[in-house]
Amino acid sequence: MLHFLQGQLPILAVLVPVAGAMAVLVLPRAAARWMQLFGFAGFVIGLAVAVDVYLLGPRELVLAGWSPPLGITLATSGTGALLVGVVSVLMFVCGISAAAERRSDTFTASWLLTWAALVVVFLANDAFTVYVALELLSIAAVSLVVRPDSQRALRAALSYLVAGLTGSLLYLLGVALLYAASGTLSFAGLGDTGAGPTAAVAIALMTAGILLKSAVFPLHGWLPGAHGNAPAAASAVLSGVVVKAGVFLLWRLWSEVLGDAGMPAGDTLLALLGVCALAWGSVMALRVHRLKLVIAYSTIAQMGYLVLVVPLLRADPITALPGVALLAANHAFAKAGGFLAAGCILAQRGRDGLESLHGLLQQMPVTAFALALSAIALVGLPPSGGFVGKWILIQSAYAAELWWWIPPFVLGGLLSAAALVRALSHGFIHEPQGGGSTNGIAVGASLQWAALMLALLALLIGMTAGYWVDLASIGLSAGRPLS
Amino acid sequence: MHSYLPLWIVLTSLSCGLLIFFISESHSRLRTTLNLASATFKLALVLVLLDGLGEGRSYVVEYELLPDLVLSLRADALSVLFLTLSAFLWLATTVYAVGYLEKGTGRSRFFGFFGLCVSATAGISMAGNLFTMLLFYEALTIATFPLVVHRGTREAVAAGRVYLAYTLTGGMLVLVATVWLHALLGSVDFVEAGFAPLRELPQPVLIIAFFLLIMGFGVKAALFPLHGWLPRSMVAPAPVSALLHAVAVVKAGAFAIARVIYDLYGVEYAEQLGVLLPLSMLAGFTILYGSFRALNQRELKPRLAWSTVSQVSYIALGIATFGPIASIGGIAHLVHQGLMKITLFFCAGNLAEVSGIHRVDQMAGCGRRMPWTMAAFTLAALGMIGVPPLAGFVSKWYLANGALAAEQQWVIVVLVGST
Repeated sequence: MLHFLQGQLPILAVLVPVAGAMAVLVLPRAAARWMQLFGFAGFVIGLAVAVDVYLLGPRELVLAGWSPPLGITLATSGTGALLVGVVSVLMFVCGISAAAERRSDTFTASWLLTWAALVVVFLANDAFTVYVALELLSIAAVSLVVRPDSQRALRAALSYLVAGLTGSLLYLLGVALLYAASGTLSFAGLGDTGAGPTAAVAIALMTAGILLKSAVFPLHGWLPGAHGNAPAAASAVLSGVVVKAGVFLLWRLWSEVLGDAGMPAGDTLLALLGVCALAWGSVMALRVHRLKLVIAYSTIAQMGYLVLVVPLLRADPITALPGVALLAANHAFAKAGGFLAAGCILAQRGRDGLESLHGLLQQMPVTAFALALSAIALVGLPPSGGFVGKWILIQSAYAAELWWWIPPFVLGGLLSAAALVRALSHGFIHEPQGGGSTNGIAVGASLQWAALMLALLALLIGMTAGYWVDLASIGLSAGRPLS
Repeated sequence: MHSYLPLWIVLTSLSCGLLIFFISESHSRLRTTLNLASATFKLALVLVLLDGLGEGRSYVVEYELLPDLVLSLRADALSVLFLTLSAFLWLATTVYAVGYLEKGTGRSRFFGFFGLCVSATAGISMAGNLFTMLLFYEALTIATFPLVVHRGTREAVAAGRVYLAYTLTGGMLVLVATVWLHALLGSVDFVEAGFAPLRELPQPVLIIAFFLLIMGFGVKAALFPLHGWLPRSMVAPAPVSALLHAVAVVKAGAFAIARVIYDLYGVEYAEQLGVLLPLSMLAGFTILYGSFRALNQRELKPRLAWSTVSQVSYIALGIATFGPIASIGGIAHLVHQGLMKITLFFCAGNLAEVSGIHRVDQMAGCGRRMPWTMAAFTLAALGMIGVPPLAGFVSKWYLANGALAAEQQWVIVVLVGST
């Protein structure tokens, strides 16, 4: 029985959140309860997936017995399982805090559907299932951005929707071309057939779609508005894991499907876009005046790192992939902690302008600490996961003699530091006694501590980096990194 | 248990600091007791360590993050020197700060970060390889920022931003050198008389790496032209200035430079590479520049700040002037300057708090009003100048003799000029 359950873990990780969404639709008044119940179950199963891969190796599950190329397969690779684990933690922790505020049943259902879609993206083994999951992800995630009381949020959600659907369309075109060229849709099969001009065009289309959905420069315009104006818990998972779905596919496409002949100019172009994202995001973060916008632009910058690694992944996936997985996990936790902390500040003070952060250290020390730890992890100071991830990637770049990609890792840290220090140092300025910056609604301690714990996780995964690197390396062999 | 001593020493101040964060502002007696007890306990542990080292025991604690990234704490003679100094001065500064901040706010935060700071310093003193040194170096940056901005004024936070700009950039330089050396060598340990595999690298690589490391660590050691943050950080309360200047930050920078030269490159090899002479010249220039700027200061604390810029470079000068006697002078000065400067800052703090004196020209007549403070100030100042038989004289004597032995007579000119 246990063995059977173990075998079904991948599909369970998808079905539990979906069942939760169904339950919310059937009985909307108990939405918060359903979130707690299904959220906890999903959390346990997600962690189980990661532990299962760590202890027993990769697992493949053919759904309903229909084998590829027609059937749907879910395959847990090391990196995919790691990301599923991260998703579970974030969706559960932020979901509990979201449900405590929102109480809207549509929001909760969308939350759970987003969760399911994310798991499918990280575990699916063929291009079309991934497409379906991406569509679901877009629609569900857009619903998370909408806030009934904010015109800004509504406009941002609409532009997110347009960007998401356009991206999916481009992706679908690419998938169609790939199918026409190679007659199969599974990633394993596509990798075998190698690359011809059709495949190159297809991958270019799919990449464009992914860049749009993951807000990579220069197609990032929708992100600051959406993440900056969404409810805090939603921003946490949007920046934390939703944008990661796209880049995960990018890594798969460019390291597995494209093959050795590849497009050398293509991956250099991608890496250049990553560097631009890093620079642009940090520069804009230095100019805006709201905390949530600073954090949102920081996401654009950090996504730059995740795209910058494509040449490294093609050159030496075995060393580079664990490094970038660690970087992604670090960003997910740190960003979620940062956004939750910003949410606490907004809830307690009613506004999040930088000037209104004065007195933060005195009045909300836990939140201030959460922001500080989150910044440390994002900048990549030791011993955070960001530091270890960058360390691995720099070593990998050095070994592969791709030296010109090393400066962005080092300088990017300084730029991020400049932007984050500028914003957070306002929190250290004291307010005169009796200053009225409390809105009266004191934020619960548990929300502040949740933010602190998430930010702390980013540091802890750095301290225990060996385990995560081992996990992400499972299933890696030259030429087949992510299947 | 006993061999984990380095770890316990770091953890003592770390846990003390973390616990204090949770003590509410009003429970000052509990906080003071915890603080003093931890400081005394730590000093006791350091004495045990000293004793053990004297008997020939070795203390190494290692933790592997990744196969080529190992956190290593190792106690040897040089680390114990710095460790004893910082543990003793933690105790002293705690006593002083309790009185100084009696009417202040945010004392729990202050003492909490103080404890973290001392932990980071302990980590630096016992770092067994370059990565560990980098980790605790950055930790020190992060732990001292809240102390620099403790007063919470816009001015203080602006000074804090300048501090971070300098120190994080310095950290980045050290990171580049560390990653580079790791990529070439696999691991970079501190070994007495130099890490041998280092010498197999091509000379240009070694020289550039040396430059990066010295510049990176030199930011904290206030080596010209990286000293800009120090005078601006005078907005901090006196105990913080004392800590920064005498115990933790600048000493950490100087200590790191000492480690790089003695236990990474090896002082003879560094001399062969030809990197020591430029360093000693830079140190010499900093000494004179710092003293000159100090003369122009009308306010007391900035004057002391510029004096520190000058004084810490004595240490660098001693190390860089090749030869055992100069080295003794340099390292001894690490201790002496610490003691003297902390005294001066405590006195300055007393003058400011009790008599409202911030400028030198206001000091007239305070010998009569605050005799104990001024007596201490006089003694310390004479020590800094180098009047025998005080400590400053001893270090300068050794430095001068070492310079003669190494045939670097110009050093004596510098010493005389700055006196």
